[in-house]
Amino acid sequence: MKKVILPAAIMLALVATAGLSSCDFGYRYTTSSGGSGGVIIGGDSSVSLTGDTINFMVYQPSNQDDQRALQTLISEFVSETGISVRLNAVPKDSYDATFRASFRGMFKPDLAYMDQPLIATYASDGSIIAIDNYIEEAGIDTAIFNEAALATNVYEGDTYGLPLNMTATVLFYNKALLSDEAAPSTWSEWLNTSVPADTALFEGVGSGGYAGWYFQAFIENCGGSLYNEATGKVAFNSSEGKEAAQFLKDLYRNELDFTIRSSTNAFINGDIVYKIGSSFDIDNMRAQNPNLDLGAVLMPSKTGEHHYSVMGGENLVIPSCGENHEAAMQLMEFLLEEENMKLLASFTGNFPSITEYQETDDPIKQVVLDQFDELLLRPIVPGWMDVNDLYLGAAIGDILDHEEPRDISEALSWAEAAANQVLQAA
Amino acid sequence: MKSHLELSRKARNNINGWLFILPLVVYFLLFQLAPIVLSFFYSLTNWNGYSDSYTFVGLENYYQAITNVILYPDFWPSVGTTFLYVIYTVPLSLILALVVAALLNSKIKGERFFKTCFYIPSVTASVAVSAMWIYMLDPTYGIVGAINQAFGTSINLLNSRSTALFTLALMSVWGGLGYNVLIVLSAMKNINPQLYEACEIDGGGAIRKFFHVTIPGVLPTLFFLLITSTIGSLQAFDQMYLMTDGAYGTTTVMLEIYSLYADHSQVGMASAMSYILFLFIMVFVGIQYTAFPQGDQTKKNKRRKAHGDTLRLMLELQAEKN
Repeated sequence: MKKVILPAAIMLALVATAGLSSCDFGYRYTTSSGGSGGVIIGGDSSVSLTGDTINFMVYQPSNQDDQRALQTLISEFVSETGISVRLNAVPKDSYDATFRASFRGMFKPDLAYMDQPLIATYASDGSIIAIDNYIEEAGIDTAIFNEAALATNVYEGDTYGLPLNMTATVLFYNKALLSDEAAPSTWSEWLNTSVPADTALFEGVGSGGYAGWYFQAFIENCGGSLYNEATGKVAFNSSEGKEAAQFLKDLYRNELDFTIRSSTNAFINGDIVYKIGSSFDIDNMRAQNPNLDLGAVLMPSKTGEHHYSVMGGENLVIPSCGENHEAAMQLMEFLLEEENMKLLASFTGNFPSITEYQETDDPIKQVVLDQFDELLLRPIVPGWMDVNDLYLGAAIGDILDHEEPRDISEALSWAEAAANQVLQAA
Repeated sequence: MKSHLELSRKARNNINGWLFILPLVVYFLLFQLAPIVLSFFYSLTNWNGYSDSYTFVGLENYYQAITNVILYPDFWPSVGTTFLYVIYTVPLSLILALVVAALLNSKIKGERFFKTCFYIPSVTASVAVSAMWIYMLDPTYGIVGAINQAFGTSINLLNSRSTALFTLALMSVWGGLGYNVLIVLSAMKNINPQLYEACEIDGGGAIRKFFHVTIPGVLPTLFFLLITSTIGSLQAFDQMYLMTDGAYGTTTVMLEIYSLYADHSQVGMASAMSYILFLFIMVFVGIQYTAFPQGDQTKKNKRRKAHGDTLRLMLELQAEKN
């Protein structure tokens, strides 16, 4: 008998635990598990439902409070409209792969987040729909959006989404290692910073995606351009491109810098003077080291005349595989309301893309806001992510390799040739 | 009537048999065979993984992967890295498993404790293991960092081309050692003790017993481990993904395939590279089958089979004569 009771008790405990964990005590509306399709909000609601259920695919907020806040926000939409929402929150790192897989899955997204540089790729093959008509019908005034953020949604004259939030890269510095007065505005000031012993000058740009993203600011800040719209080709191996790459290489300095840089969280731990980052890094850095005295300046340039920075952020798009475009558009409008937009932006540490809603009391975040005056768009062409990650970023990584650095011209020339092949094919 | 009943019992047994293996058959068809067939089909297309449309490109993806060093510059280096990783890991893991198993088999105290210790890494999630090693190998804060500070060195194992891959290989050997030791140890326990006694009577010491009794006794097991370790190493992925992201010469073929598939929607190309890797694995395993000794047991089986074939032939000839 004992032999039966123990396994039965264990099974019962497991079932009870599973049952309790799937219950949701804190919500106004009952949520139910949608399996791999996420959580359905409004699935068993007391409000009058229209019978519509839309699938909303979104970046998963990084902490549980924000995840609850997101569900509460969506339940408010359900309450207002009677449209049920299946919320599929996916971690940012695996979002794009999951988004693509969802096209073949059971719960095809009706509304989805999308990283800015992916718009052209998905628009070009018809995977997301142009929403100009919906915008007109809904009477949305697109002039209220940040111009650059809105422009990331426009491909070949049509608008494929609306910008939800945005950010820009700035140069952070550690005030314990550098005074505010010494913060650089030009490249020479940056390079010639007086650095304490056992401290590295610059955290670096990494390789791959981030390196490609950051490099655009460097090439434009010495007067060059990453992409020629007239010819539809990139020009990495221009004199400005080579100069920008050489400057990056100079910032990397020596073996000691490399050792410090390769340590985990070296900037946050106070071992490096400078780091490039965006608004989403600020809270994270402070959380990891509350004693970090952070400073920030606009991206330095060769002459100090301009301070170009690359933009990042998310847009809201309507995938063509979705079945209820009108309801998706209703949810999009709801999310673009002031409080909702601010809440969603706070999950990623970015700013709402509507200029009027962009405000902060934080002096460091204010620098990011100031940086919005000189924003660079990534080229809105299909396949740009491949160009950025696989070729440009890889070439920068090769150039900055501390053991076997590749010749600047050779690396940029290869990346240029590969990128132009990709762009031509796309 | 009896024969009919027996037949129906046979049929019932057949049905029962099929029902028992049905879950595995369904699993095999859905999650193993179907992906194998589908990915081969995808390798002949330019499908991006989500669109409704694709173009059939034949063997173009294979050709591009092998020849286009502008668009796929990392493919051949990743093949070289993978082979190097196999060379680092496979012999080392087999030799260490053999030595540790022999030590544990020598009736030492606390055999169970040591077996558990060696096996713990095998049952620990690779993410947790990787996080632990990243911290230990950190040039500033980990154990290596402490050594650097104490001796003024600048050891940076994961951030150097000369050491990163070998470090990952050592981690892999450490992680898989427990499993290999258990397999080899169980083979050692099955060796007939009389063989050791005979060796002793012939004047053999510990070393002679090891080389003339133990090793021949576990050779079929070692061959099994050789094949599985080689296949596992040719498919190395998680440590490179988690710890170096392919930097410093640690991009293996699997990492390259994953990057193209998950980050860049090149399902057709990723599938083609998977099949090229599959071919490499087949060639490797084929070489191992022909070049490496598989132990007495396997030889005996072969002889028995050959003898059986001869006997069968003789019986058939006899039947023809009659």
